[in-house]
Formats: sequence, structure tokens, C-alpha cells
Amino acid sequence: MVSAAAALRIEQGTIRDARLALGGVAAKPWRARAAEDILQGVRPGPDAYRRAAEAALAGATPSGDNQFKIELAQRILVRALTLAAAGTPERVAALPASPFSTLPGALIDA
Amino acid sequence: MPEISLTQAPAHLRHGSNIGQPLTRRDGVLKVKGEARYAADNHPAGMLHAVLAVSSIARGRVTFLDVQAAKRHPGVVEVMTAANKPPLAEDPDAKTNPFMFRLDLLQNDQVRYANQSIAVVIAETLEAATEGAALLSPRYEVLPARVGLDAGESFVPAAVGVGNPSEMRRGDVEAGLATASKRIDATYETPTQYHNAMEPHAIVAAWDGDTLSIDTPTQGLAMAQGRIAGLFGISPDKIHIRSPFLGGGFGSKGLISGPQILGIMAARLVGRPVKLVLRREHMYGPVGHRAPTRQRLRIGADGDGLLTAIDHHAKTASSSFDDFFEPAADASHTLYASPIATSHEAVRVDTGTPLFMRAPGEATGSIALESAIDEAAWACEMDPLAFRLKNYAEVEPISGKPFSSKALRECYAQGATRFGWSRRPLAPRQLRDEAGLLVGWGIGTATFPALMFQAEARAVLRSDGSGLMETGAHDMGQGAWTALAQIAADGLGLELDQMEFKAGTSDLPDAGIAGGSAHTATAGMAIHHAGAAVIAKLADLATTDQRSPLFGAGNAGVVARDGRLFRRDDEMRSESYADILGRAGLKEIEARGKGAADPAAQSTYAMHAHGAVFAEVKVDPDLGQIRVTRLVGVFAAGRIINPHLVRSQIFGGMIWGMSFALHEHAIMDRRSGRTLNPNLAEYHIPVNADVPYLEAIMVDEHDPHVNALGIKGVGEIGITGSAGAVANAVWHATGIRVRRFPIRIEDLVTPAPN
Repeated sequence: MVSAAAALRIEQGTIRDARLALGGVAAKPWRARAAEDILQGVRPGPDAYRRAAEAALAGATPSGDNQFKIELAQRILVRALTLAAAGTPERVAALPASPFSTLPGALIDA
Repeated sequence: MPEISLTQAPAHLRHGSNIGQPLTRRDGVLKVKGEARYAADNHPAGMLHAVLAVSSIARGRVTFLDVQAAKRHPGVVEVMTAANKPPLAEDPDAKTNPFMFRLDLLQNDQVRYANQSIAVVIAETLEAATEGAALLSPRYEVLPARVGLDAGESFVPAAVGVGNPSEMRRGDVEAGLATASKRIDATYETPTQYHNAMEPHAIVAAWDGDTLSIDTPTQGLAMAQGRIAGLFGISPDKIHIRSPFLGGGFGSKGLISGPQILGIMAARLVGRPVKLVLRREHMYGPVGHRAPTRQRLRIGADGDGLLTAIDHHAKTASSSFDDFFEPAADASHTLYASPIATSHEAVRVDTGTPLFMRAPGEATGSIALESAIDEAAWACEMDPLAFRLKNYAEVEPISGKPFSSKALRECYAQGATRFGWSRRPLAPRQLRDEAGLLVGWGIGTATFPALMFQAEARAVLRSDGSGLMETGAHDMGQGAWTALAQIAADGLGLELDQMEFKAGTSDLPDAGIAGGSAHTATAGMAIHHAGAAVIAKLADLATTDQRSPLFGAGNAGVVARDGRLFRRDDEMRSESYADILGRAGLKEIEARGKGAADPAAQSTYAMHAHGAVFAEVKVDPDLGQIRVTRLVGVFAAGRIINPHLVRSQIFGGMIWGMSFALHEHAIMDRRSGRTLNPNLAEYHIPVNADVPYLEAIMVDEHDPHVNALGIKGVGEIGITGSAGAVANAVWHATGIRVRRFPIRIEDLVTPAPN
């Protein structure tokens, strides 16, 4: 329904560079540049992720019945950033939300 | 009824050797080897391919079809339209019995729903016919489509389901609501759903003069034969239908559909055999569906948690041109002891006519009722299982009749133990798994009536000691080839490999319809009676012949077993079937038997199967993603003929229930009246990866009243209870009560105000 991709370069506890993209919210993959800017130079953490997510969807308007996607996209972004900050796991799980996920605790890969 | 009926004999006398055995399906090897011949696998010599052209509008008329362009396409043989279709003997809009539904057979240029057939292209190859259909480039005069439950004036249907009263009540519901200390008033919505059998509707039709040979999947051979006979003005015995296997029916193959008749018309038009197979998207229109519902439940309970009222009102939709009204509110008639009122209203919309879809009414009504009962339990601060037990119906609430049997308490108890229900916290949003996912546990009660229709069977015993049982039964995958053969073997007193079982063609005795979860009981009783009747003939030969060791046993009676008759009071005296027939100089003897409901028992008892389903779901607290992780269902459905196949049936039903709660949703375009997701990619059904650990347990239930074999049905009950259990588990996990089904991620991420 909504997807997000995140890449973070973290040096000495500070985000130096961030890349964020959303799927399922526009007619094309959507790069969230405003959110990337917010993350630059801040310490990773839930507050920063939430601020970035809000910025990413700041100008979003629903079309039809998809109002919920604005909130869902923000939550997905927070999740993607949380996972990105944790680093690439030793074992990469199935795609987020995949029923084929086998790692205990789907939170890790959802 | 046969001249001698053994229905009064204790059931154990002649059963148990085959009935009750967990045999794998006898047609299984054919199926895994690809040798089971489904309708569309047939290719008679000279066969042509027909493809439907269907309407892309929901209401209006066809103003133009480029027939010339289609006909110019290489390989196209003919284009059948309203202008050149063969004449019918009967108006396909005529209705002479309640099981007759109006069919769209190119009688005019009118369009009544999207995906209605507007032409048939017949060609040498499937590809040519498909291209020909595309070349027709229809033009339309379009009228605005009426879509959804608020489409127009609503009205009270004269009847719902098959002849059920639209409104029923027992007890004073208004008084019960007025005096209640806790009240629930909640409205639930269920979506349009499509049967989506894996095998699409298909037909191969060949005419020889006025004799018609057909391969087509049907759940009702004799009814299909009768309908075709009427439409083409030929005698039913001129029509031979083969339907040995169905790739699922679920009600959509109960009555022959318009496209199947069009295949027969196409064969008549071109004078050659024709095959017509529906494309998946063509199944979203002319072959029935489950109509949407909006159900309001008002429930009252007193300070002790005793129900004082259940008022269940359902709004549904039928087509603009025919009547089928999903009897959703009737689901409240049987489960909980309370004053009860049920009522229905409906609107007309521009869709194909809704039809019976697995547990019609019961499934839609059950998810609303079970959700509302859960809400009432929470309002009373009671455990939802304890609340259900508190309001356990000792007699059928709507009629006051005693139940013929009801082992529901056993189902609750066994299910609760298997599931570990006693550890469930009362309040929602209390459980988390090790990864932080919200965990919820829910319960739903399952119920489905134990119906019987009418069927006939023919039994034969041969002088070589073998036997034959014939009935035109239908195997939709549920295992009729196996379960009915087990009943037949016991009825004939033979082992399965000593007898032949014939089913699935229209030249056999009428086995009724494989629907209403009644096929095993109905066809099974016909088989049972036919077996009893032929054994009675055989016994008569033996006991009146001085040369037989059974001479004079007429009063004591005989028992048939292992191809021999045994004197009932002296098992040392017996004689084989072969010897009895051989001495009588008979090559074979035959007898017929019928299966039907016993009206006396029906007027005395309420007859239902029951069950309890327990569900566990896990929900991502941030993203609202729901996974069902456990489903435990315990059912009481009378005598179980084949525990292995029954378990599979119940599994299938439980998966349908979970699908009802979380997956299935045909989305209608409000502007065009077309289904937006007419395919298996976008119309969500559970795949294996969605299906959790399942347990289906059958509790013992002896029912001496439903029929002599004690059989209730298992085909549909699995959906009921399961759908509500999943919905209730989602509430228990999240604290959010979703009343619009299927439950979606957005309902949990951005919940509607309660």
C-alpha cells in the first residue's frame, strides 16, 4: 500500500547524509528531499525520524479514499529510518510486510 | 421410499466398516496425475472455440458491434449476436419456480450489468475467437449506473434467501431493549464478494439433431438438465451432461449460468461442437456473487449478562431485474437465548443477480452477530466465551423447538482447552509477543442448518458377488466420490473394492443438488435406502428358499456384511450374495432408494450443526498489518462419514472465514458500475503463506433425528464463527472495533471514531 526506502550515513553518532524514497503515494517513486535535509546533521532517534516523516508528507493531499496513506507513509518512514539506523542486519529478512518473513518478530522486517 | 425401510434399525448394525474411515480421496491419484477430466479438457472432433464479448458498461444498451471486422479476422467462423442467435423455446427472463434465475442470452440490446454477454465469437482457435471479440469494438448508449447500498429507494423484499420470511420475531425485543442495563447499537458492513472457483465456468456442447451432449461443471445435474430442456424445447432425456469433477463451485455452479447456455446456443448456430470457457474477469457478473450488506445490531443485556434482546436488521442489494436477497439477519435465529427480531430491506443496483455463495446469509450475518455479541460481552465486562455460555440456547430461540442434537458446549470446552483460552486477559491491547507485536484472541460461534433436499439412487447386486451403486452426485472437490462410495459400500454390505460407484452424469438417478451442505446427507440417504432395498430383495430370495441356510429367517432378519447375509440371531448361518443369486438363476437384482427430509422430525426439532472457533492474530502496532497466527475450530456435525475429508472441508471453510474478515472485497467503481479488481491479483484471497496453523476437531455427536445415518453438513459451517473470531481477535489485539469488512490496515492506522 505504501513503501519506503531509507539510507543513512552516520558518523560519530550524527547523520551526515540521508536518502529517503516513498512508493505508493504518487504516480512515481517519491524522493523526500525535505525530509533528507532535516535529518542532515542531527542525531538519529525517534523524534528526528518523526520530524523527517512529517516533512516528507507536509504537502501531501489525498485523492479519493486514500487519506490514510498520509499517516501510514509517515509511520513507514519512521520504521524504515529505524531499521536503517540499526544497520544492515546479518540476515536480511524477506521484504517488509511479506508473509514469507521467517525471522522471529515481524517488527524487524515490517 | 423403498418397500422395506431399515431406518428404524440401530445404526451400528450395518455401518462402521467403511463409514467413519479416514480414506484419502479415491480420485486423488487421477487428480495429481492430471488425468481427472474437467469440462474444458474435452475436445470432441471438429470442436470450435467460443469467446464472450462482454459489456463494459453497467446499464444502457448496445448501439453498435463491428461484426464485419470480427468476421474478417482469420479463423473466425461466426459471430452470434442478438440479430442471429438461435431461437429459444422459452423466455430466459421467465420464472416458473423459485430456483429459476433470469439469464442474459442475447435476447435484445439491453445491458443490465457490467460483464454481461453482448456477443459470442466462434472461431477455429481460442486466439482467433479472442481477437474477434476484441474487434467487435462495441458502442453503447450509457445510462448512469446504480451502485452500492444507497443507490436508490429501499424496499422490504417479499422473501429472503429461498422463501424465508423477510421479517421474523419471537419475544418482545423492544421491551428487552428498554429494560436492558447494557445496550449495543452497532452497524456492520460486508462487501460484495465473488465465488472465484479455481475452475472457471466452462462448457463443451455438441448437438446431434435434437440430442445434446454436454461437458460442464454443475452442482445440480438434474436442475441443469431441466433448465436446458426448457430453454431449447427438448425433452430432458435428450440431454446428456457429464460433470465428473468440479474445480470448486461454492454455489456459483448450482444453477446453470447464462454463459454456459450461450455455449450451447453457439454450438447450435454453427452446427459443430463448441467450447466456451469464461475468462476470470468474466466471472464478475453473470455467475452470481455475494451481495453487500449493512447490518444494524441492537443488543440488550441485563446486569447479570443475560441477553434481553437481539434485533438484527440487514440491508442488502439485488440486481435491477431479479430477486436474490442475502438473508443475513437470519443468522441471529439460532444461536443465543433471547427475544429476537430480524428484518431485511434491499435496494436494486446494476449488477448481475447475487446468488447463493457458500453460507449465504449465515456467513454475512455471522460476522456481524459474532462481533456484536463480543461487543455486548465487553460492555458487560464478561469474558466473551463465558458470555456465550451464559446465553447458551437450550432450544432454538426463534422457534422454541428443541434441537435434534447440539454438542456446542463440548465444542466450546474442547476449543478453549486446545487454544489456551483461560489465559486470555479480558481487556484489549494487553498481549504482546517477544517482538512487540500486539496479540489478540477472539472467539466466534459457528452454526449452519442441517438441511436435506431430495435424491434418488439405484443399487445393483450381481451374481458374481459384486455390487453397483449409482446416483448423479457431484464432486466439487469436497470428496463426494469417496464419502458417498463409503456409504454405498456399507449399504450394500460390501467392501469398497467389491463395488462400483457411479456419479457425475445426468443419466444416473437424480442426486439433487450439491448445495446447502446437504449433499452427503441427501444423496447418502438415497444410497442407504437403495442399499437397504436391494438387500431386502436379496434377503427375500434367501429366506424363502428351502435350499438356503437362511431359510425361515424372515422373522429373525438378516445382516448384510462382507458380501454375505448372516442370520441376525445366529451368525453361524450365512450365505454369500453370489450363491443366493446363482441359485435363483438371476444375473442381478436392483432396487432404488430415495433420500429426503423427514417432515415429522423437521416439525419437531431444530436441526443445526454447531462449532466454536478460536483465533489468534498479531498486529503491528504502528503499521496496522494483521496476521492470523492460529485458528482452532471445534465442530459438532453429527456422524462423520470420512474424518479426513471432513477436516479438509472444515479447513477450507475456516480459511474462507478468515478471508471474509481480512481479505475479500470486490471494489465497485461508483461511476461506471464496473468491478475494479476482477482478477485474482487484486481481489484478495488468502494464499498458503497467509494461512496460519489450523486445527479442526470434530466432536462426537449422535443425532437420531436428522436422518437415519445421523449426517449433518460440513460444507459451509467452517466460515461461520471463523470470520467473527478473527474480527474479535483484531479488536482484542488493538482495542479498535472495526465494523466494516474486510478489516483494512487503514482501519487500524486511522480508526474511525467509535
